[in-house]
Amino acid sequence: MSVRGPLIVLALVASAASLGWAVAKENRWSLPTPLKQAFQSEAATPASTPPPEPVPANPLAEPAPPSDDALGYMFMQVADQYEHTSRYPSYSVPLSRDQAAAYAGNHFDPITLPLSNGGEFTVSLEKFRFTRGQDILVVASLSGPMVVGHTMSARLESATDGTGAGSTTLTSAEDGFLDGIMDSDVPPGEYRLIVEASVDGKPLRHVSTLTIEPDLGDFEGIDSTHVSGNDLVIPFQFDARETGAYALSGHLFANGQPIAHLTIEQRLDNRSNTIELKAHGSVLVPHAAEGTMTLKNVQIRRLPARPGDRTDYAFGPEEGYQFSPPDLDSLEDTSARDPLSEQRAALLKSMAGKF
Amino acid sequence: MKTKTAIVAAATLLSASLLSTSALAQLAGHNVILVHGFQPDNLALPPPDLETVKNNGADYWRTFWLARSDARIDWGSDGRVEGAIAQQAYQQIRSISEQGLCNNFCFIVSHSTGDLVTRYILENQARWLQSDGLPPLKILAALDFSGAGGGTELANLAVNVAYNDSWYLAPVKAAVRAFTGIDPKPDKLGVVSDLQTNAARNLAVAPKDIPRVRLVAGGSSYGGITKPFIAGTDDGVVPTHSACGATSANGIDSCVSNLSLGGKVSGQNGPSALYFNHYPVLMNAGASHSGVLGSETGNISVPVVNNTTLNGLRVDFASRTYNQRAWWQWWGAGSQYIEVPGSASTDMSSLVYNTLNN
Repeated sequence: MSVRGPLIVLALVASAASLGWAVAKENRWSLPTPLKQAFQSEAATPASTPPPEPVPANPLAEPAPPSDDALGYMFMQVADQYEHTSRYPSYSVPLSRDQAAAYAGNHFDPITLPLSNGGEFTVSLEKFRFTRGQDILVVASLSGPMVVGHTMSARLESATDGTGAGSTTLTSAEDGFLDGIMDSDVPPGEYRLIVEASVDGKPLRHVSTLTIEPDLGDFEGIDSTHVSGNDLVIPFQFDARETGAYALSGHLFANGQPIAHLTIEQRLDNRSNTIELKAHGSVLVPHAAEGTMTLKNVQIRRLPARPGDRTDYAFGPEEGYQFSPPDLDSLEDTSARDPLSEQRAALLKSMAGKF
Repeated sequence: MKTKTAIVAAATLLSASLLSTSALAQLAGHNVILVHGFQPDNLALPPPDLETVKNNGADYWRTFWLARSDARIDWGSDGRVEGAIAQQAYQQIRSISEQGLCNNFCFIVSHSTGDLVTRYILENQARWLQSDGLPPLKILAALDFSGAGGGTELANLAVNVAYNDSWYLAPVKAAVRAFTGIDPKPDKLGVVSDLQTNAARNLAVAPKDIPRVRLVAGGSSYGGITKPFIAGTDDGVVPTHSACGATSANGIDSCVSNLSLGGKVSGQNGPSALYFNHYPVLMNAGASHSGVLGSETGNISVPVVNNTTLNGLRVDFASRTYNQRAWWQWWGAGSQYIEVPGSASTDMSSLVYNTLNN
């Protein structure tokens, strides 16, 4: 029940989203100025990658003008940016804070159903995937000029065959919200959450989707970390219930900042396994990472063995795992692209060369 | 024996469809694989076999890309990504691998839901092929037109309509009917279930090392009745947050904060971040969701330049900037725009194809 407050806040934020969006549309371009000035004065725009490495200053050299081919110029930029991002090994890629939120996974955005009279029916969950047995807190709100009941019902229904899988009643909480808890001790799979309100004496249903995940095993934590080559090796213990192909991932935080997404695919046996996540020097050195670090947003996926199989998910504790790394002074900010990425980067550069 | 005959027939069909267009194919010297989008007709009338799926797939691309492709990954929209769609796709992936069509790196060209299907394929193909003793496909880049990998609010609504007959949802129902072509039922949603924003953004989202080039439209589809129900700007089906590759489903107006979909240099509600290796390169405020596939001209395409792509260079784009005054505006310089010169005389697919093949 401790998550109820934040969820309600989340729902409030969702309800106010359109207002916030409108307020946020400030015009930062009030004067027509030369493009260079205009773009360079603009706050950093998003990029899928960190900015390219600085080019050594040469006061005598004018930057080369861009190609006359505007789209060709864009492909050239893609090639340059890809060359930059591919310097990171695929097991250790850098993260911005916003990217970290996205790749943390298991996020549920409140779903709002707009009504013809201007009202809205919104349902929020704390996450998209629930491990079997976890409580599902459902928070709902209904606004608009109509007569609504004091309670709502909520039920789970299998998305595969429509089988019912439990129900509850949502009752008034605070600030006009209704909430209730559902049991998730049902067979793993995809479910539809159907929240039903009585509006002007007739049923109105809100439907959203969630998944119930099997118990994949126990997250046992981090063993002693060490440096190997240009990597900080983070041995993670996971006791798997079943043998299979798995992918373990997590976000490495240093000084409270997310600095890298670490991942590895590995075949696990149905026992305690050591999975070695690695953070490459290229993501650690630029952040002067030292002192206590945290591995957060740990998730493990049991990968589909054959096409048509389902991917199963399990998630580590919210607080993550703190550890003290060894001396990292030997690590270097060097390129470590894998051979395929290197070929790809070279092909893209070659292709862009004509622009 | 029956099974064996069926397998041989399927293999023949796949091989034929893989090779049928190769004479004119290739993009910048690399084979092209097409992954189509949502086909609403499949919900009302599920394709009975792979041959029908393949025929539908060919029809989907006939406007432009079919004659410029070397293979396709076709799938039935009545299925789920982690279900029948993965199975159908893998049969074709297997065939592409066996024929070595991607030994020298392929381009994937995806449209709409094909973006999501592609993402799932890229997450799993190497492991599946290797377990069958086949080499993984080597993909150079994906060109994602109107990518729906981030889901669409229309799918959220479609699932709701399937469970409701309330008159309070009349406008929503009209929009959903335009999008899906049917009055949805709970057991007839197919891939629409995967397109719900929460479902899409929780499926195979791990960072990947394959560049996703994003081509974004902002025109109108279905007479505009779907637009009010999609967050931010959109192309009538797919929200800009998805097409750009934004990391959140919050509504946005443009792929960058300093340039509108129409190319106006102005403050925009842009994404706070993009998924790893996602590169929006082209926006077009006038192109509709399906028009990006080669059927629409007359709309200006805009290069997605920002201060990261500019990299400190002085980008004047002298021939690509102009001032536009409203008819009533007799004074001042008007607004400043950026465009791809000549783009209004062609369509987005031709523009991309001709640029890369130039």
